[in-house]
Amino acid sequence: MKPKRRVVPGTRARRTPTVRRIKPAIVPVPRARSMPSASPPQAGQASEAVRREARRIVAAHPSVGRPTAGHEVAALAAAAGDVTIELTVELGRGLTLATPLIAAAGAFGYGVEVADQVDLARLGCLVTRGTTLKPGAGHASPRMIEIPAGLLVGTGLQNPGIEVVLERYAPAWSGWPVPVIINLGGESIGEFVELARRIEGVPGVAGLELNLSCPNGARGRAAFGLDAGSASALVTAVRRATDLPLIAKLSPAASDVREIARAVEQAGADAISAVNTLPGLAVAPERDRPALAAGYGGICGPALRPVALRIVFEVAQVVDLPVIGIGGVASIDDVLDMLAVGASAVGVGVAALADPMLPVRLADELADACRAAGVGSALDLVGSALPVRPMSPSAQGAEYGRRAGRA
Amino acid sequence: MPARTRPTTPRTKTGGRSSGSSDSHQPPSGPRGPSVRSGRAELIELREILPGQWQASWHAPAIAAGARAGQYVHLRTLEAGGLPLRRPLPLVASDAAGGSVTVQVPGQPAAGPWLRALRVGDETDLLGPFGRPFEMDPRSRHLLLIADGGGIAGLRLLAEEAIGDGRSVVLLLGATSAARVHPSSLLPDEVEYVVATADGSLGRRGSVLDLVLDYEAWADQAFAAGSPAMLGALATLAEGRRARLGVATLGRKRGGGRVVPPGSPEARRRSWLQVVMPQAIGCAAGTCLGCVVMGATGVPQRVCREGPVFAAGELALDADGSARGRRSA
Repeated sequence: MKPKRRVVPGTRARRTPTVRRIKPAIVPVPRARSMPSASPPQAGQASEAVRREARRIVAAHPSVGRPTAGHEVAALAAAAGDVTIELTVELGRGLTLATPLIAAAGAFGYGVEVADQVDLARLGCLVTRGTTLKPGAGHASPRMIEIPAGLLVGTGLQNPGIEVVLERYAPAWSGWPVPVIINLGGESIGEFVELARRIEGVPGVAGLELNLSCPNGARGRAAFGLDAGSASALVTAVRRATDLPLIAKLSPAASDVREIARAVEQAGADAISAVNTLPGLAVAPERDRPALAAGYGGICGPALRPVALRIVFEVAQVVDLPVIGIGGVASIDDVLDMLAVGASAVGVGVAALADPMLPVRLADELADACRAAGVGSALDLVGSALPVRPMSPSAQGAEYGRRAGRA
Repeated sequence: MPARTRPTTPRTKTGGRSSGSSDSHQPPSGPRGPSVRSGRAELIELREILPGQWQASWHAPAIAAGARAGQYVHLRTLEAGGLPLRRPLPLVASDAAGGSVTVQVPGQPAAGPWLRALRVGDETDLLGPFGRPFEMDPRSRHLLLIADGGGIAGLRLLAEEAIGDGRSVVLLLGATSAARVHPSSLLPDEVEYVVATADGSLGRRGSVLDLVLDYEAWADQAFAAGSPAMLGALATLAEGRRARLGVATLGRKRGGGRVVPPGSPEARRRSWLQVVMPQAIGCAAGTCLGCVVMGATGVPQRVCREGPVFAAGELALDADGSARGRRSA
């Protein structure tokens, strides 16, 4: 059941991208919340140091467009330090992220492992490792293979089980300023519902993310996220069991991901994560078996990025829910790309393994990029690459898709 | 070789209750040295010791201060193609007084161009030290170090520590040919260095395992690093050693029947054979679970935190050397 009116941030920007793009990008007047207290300084009044800083910001972010007069004024104001960039994102049901940059599932485990290395308070939110009803030992070794520009990972949902997770980690989470979202896995709707019931009311848990790449035992073990019926039934059932914000994490293996996205929106999901890993395979050096002990693995890292961008692009055109873009994000340009194709929040996964502070740094760089673009809120950058009229789905074949406007 | 000033004898009494023993069942936020995660470090020396094998030294006082043999550092090699993981590299030397650490960097296959472009004075991204170290029993006088291929890098610091304590050390190395044998000039002088090559071009023809049989009765403790196949074979050998030689294990008289928590320093100290698991390590923080191997009891063990040094009995090392452990559902 869909609520009658849901105010979704970013929707307006998404629907009028061309209008927004041809407007001169000046310091946005209508946004009272992000306006500086004083009027922006004029170019002539700024000190040389401020102007140098402004040029640095504009030069550092060429991807936000060619500098214009508006850019310069905004950058000058930003360099003078009197523009607050609004970075908060609403994911629904009162879940507000302080920044759009989040730690994607798996990157930081349950958070406590990295609490002494990462300034977790400066993350938008932290999504935990996939957690199941019962403890899971996971797959045998090897579980992880490097591939060109990415990883092939098959850990097999190793986790201590929801009971232990809530007992051991939730007390710590409840003291943290960062919202913690538990990523849930299961092999039947009943398991997911049971998980949601156990989590309901536990302090420290800010939301649930449903892993739709899990096999549905009731439908011949085909993943929930491959079939709109399965996905809808799962989200509907979990929605009934919990009042927590509910995020559906889509599988990139679905033939038409738009159908799945529409189904989970109808079923009452509050937000959509796109995407999970894409199933792949590597061969052992001896060429007598697959390299991973589990056989298949999930492709993640920069190799997955074009797939993730495509899916966010398609999903953002058909749903009004906020979309969390996940897949190979490793730099500020990747973040801006994700926002441009319609993501309101951006998850960092594999890149955070080598550089745990990356998500926090990207949030700072995003604020800089907003200043350089002359916008007061990161949401103003959302959806700028979306077409005016819906484009044909990629399910029709990448080579045969028709450009928007010529349909 | 600079003289070592740091005492390296394990400080815990063998029979006593070890207060600092950390076990693998506590929350993973477990204790960690204050020196971990150093960040940028200046390269002070880089030399190619063998074709495709470099030894690199960094000025990293924070890492050198707390480092022990068996631990590793996590190096970010900016390789072409955007490979995302850091490389775990065992410490070859660590000079706490001078603040330098040395590791051996295999240039194969992708890190070569990056390494060749590095110059002394460059800053690279180096974190550490990570992992649990080797544990020597204070009563062990004869140490057998066993390596094949690049595994020798992980044992050199241990040899140095052991010799500093006045123990005698035999280092057995297996290599494909004389051209791949680690130069003896890079080892402490007191080490007895015995080599076997597959083609017989240096030392005995055959595998390092043939050498082990000559020394296993002599050795009080053994430490191995190298290929999974060798480690698996050694683990099998170690299991049958007591029956074959009819020797008692150390520590039997004092608290011999006491249960030692798996994963504790005590468990490693008591084991005749300690092995370094060769494994790709993703995060070194215990979050990604990519490096996990199965323990002997079916409990998953993270090589990055519970390892990389394990008592051989703690792991389900297959006799054929696949070191994969049992597959669980």
